[in-house]
Parts: sequence; structure tokens; C-alpha cells
Amino acid sequence: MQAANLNDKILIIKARLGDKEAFATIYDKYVTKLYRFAYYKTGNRELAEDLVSQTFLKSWEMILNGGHIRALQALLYQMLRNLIADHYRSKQSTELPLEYDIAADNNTDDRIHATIDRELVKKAIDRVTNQDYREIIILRYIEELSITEIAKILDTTKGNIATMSHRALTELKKILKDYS
Amino acid sequence: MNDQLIAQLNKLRSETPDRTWMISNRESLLSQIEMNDYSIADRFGLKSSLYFNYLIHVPAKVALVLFLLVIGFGSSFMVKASLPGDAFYPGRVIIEKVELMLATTPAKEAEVYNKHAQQKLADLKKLQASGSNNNIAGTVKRLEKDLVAAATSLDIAQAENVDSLDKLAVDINDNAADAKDFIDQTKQEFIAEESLAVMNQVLATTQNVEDKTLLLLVSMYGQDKISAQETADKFVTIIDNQLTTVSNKVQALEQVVETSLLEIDWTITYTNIREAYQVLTDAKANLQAGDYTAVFKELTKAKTIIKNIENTISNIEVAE
Repeated sequence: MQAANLNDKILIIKARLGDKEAFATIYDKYVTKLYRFAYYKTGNRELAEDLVSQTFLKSWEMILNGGHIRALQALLYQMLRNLIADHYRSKQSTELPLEYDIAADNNTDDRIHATIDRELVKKAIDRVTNQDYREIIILRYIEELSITEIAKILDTTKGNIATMSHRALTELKKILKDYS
Repeated sequence: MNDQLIAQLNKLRSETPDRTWMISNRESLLSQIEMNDYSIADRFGLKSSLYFNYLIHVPAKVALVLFLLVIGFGSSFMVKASLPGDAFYPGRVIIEKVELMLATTPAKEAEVYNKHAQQKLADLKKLQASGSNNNIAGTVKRLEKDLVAAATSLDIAQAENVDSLDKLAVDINDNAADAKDFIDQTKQEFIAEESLAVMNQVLATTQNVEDKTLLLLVSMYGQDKISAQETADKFVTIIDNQLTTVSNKVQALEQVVETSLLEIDWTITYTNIREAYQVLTDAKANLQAGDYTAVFKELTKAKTIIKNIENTISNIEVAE
């Protein structure tokens, strides 16, 4: 964890010195994680792609204008969260779409079952009404970030995250029970 | 159910963005970003630091830094040895904050908080010996804060599946028990109602920390992080200490409290203590025999008896 943070700091310094490849490395490192977060929050692939692009542009501006960056990963997630919130605010709707883009699958039976389970869990996540709980489910159980990292992203205490993780999982279980 | 659900959630990590989009977006971003708008000083936020360039080249200022370092090292010993109320104590508070900032994981944080709690307990003993009762209530509050923070960080470390936390859990538990004993013995010296209320509140918190760390040890055992023998061993020691403490407390109280005024039957209390000792002896015998199921059953029983005795005596107020 500490080494990863140090690497990020080195990349930021290199980027500030004019090394565009350093920024490309930051992009490669975080693009998938950020996309997944945006996709599970919005349920829309195109929108997720657009928001992730904007996040990187904003982060580039911040890197270049000398803003103090303590933890790059937390900063990127925070920027993305704000962009998602802005998007729904501008649409005057806080309700997120219920249906996910489900890619056409022409797989074997086993993979179809796996897809069904996955879709069920995805839908259940979408039905978690508390946005904090939903974010915690994505960050803690899908991305497997540590409580410390999540606390930085959501700007709250670690104790609070630990409690909310438990509650979020309980709510998700309740929703899944309703399905069955 | 939890494990299955978490495994299912982990599988959602297989969702990845479209590879073509990733590459084209990367190229598009790199072509959009421009460096020319910002000078190097802007990029490193150096504009506000007006004296930056002069400072590193002026030998006199380097000498000043060295002088400050010598003074700093000289006074660091005094800072570390300072007690609440001393002129150097704020320096110690800053050192503690720096130590916490350097702790990068919850387990390390728990360790640091526990170390601070241990130091505060030592401070309290020194303050009591020197008769500076004025600072005791404040230090007890800070001790409470450190203990609670240590237990919370330990809880988080355990939730993050960090191994080898058992020693730390036992250390925090020991500290909480020591703190509880100290407050219990000292609280009667505080006549002011406000200070007494603080002491009673901290007493309840330390008891919670003690119970919480015990529960954590049980949960570590449940997750096979420590063996049954290790867990049972630790529990026997902890509960043995708790029983000795409560038994001493009862004996001390019986001598100073007028039983006739209260509806306390000391005979029943002593019978309970004897029963707890007997149950604990059986637990020790079963520990030797390797029958851990029986050990935990007996320890639970002993703990319940101790809790009942503690409840009985908790409301007794000793008149001055």
C-alpha cells in the first residue's frame, strides 16, 4: 500500500516535469477500476466511459497546476464521484437506472448460469438505495480496497466505514433474499 | 451466506471497459493535455515560497537550522519525560501525533495508540505518586481515548484479515484491565462530583474495551487465525486476573461499607467468588487435558459469574 502510494507520487512528479508517459501510466493503472466504479454506479457503459475520461482530464489539470495530492487513488475516485453526482443533478434526477447494459452472450451453459448470478447481484446492488452503502459495496467487496483507502475516498472515519460495510452487506443480503 | 455473497461480488471484478475505448481514449487524452500553460514553479506550487531560492544557498541560515536541531535534540529528552501540566508536555502531544501519522496500517495504528495508552497509565501513576491530582482527570480522559482508538483500529485490522493480531489484542486487553484497576483504586480520592463522574464513565469504557478485545480473540479463533490452545490459554489468564481483581474489590468493599444500610448479602457474593474459582480450576484442568470445548464452556460460566459480581458491587458508593 505504502509502495503503491510512493509510486503514484513519483508518477505525479514526473508528470509535472513534463513526462506525458507518466500520466499514461497513471491512466493505465486506474482506468479499469474507475470505469467499474462508474459503471456499477450508473449502470450505463457509455456514460461510465465519458465520466472516466472527464475524471482523467480534471486530474491532469490538478497535477499541472501544482495542487497538493496526498493520495492519487482517493483523489481520482473523489473526482469521479463528484462528476457522477453532477451528472445526475444536471439531469434533475437522483434515481439511477435500474437496468444494466447486458452484453449479448453466446456462451456455454455454465457461463450462462454464472452470468445470471452476476446479473442478479448487479441488480441487487442497484436496488441498494443508500448511495454510501452502494459505493462501499463496490469499493470494498468488488474492488477489495482497504477500509483505510475507502475512508480517504469517502472522506470519513475508518470506524464509520467498518460499520457501514457491515450494514451495506446486510442490506444487500436482504434484497437478494427478496429475489429468492 | 456472507462468504458466498462476497465471492459473488468479487466476480463482478471481471467487468472491464472495452479495450478499443481504453486505447483510443488514452491517445485522445494524451493529445489533449498541454503543458505550456503552466511554468515549472506553478506545477510544483512553488510560487508562494518567496524565499525558497535564497534559503538553500545562505550558509548562515544552514547554521541556524543546525543550531535549532541541536536545541531540538537536547530538549527532546525533556519532552519525552514530561508529564501532563509540564511546560514541555505540548511537545509530547505533537510527537504522539507524528507517531500516529507515520502509522500506515490499522494494525500499526492500534499498536501506537496502545503504546500511548500505556504511557498515559504510567503518567497517571507518577502523577498520583507526586500528589498532582489536578491533572489526573484530564489524563484519564486521554487514556480512555487512546484505549478506545486502539480497540477500534484493532477491530478494523481484523476486518481486513491482518494476521498475528492476537498478541496486540492481549496487550490492549491487559492495558484496559490495568487502567480499570488504577481508576477503580484512585476514584475514591476524587471528592469533586464532576471528576468522579468522569472516572466512572472512563471505568465503563475501559470495561467495554476489555470485553471487545476478548470478543476479537474469540473471532480470531473462529477464523482459525489462532489455535484453540492459544485462545484457551489466553482466556484462562485473562479471566483468572479478572476474578482476582473482583475478589480483591469485594474484600476491600466489605470492610468499608456498612452492609446494614445496603441490601447486600456478602455470603452470596463470596459463594459466587468460590464458585467462579472452582469453575476456573476445572477449566485449567481441562486445558491441560486438551478438552478445549469444556474449557470454553467453563470460561463462559466463570465470566458470567464475574459480571454478576461486578454488577452487584458497581453501585456501591463508599462514604468518606
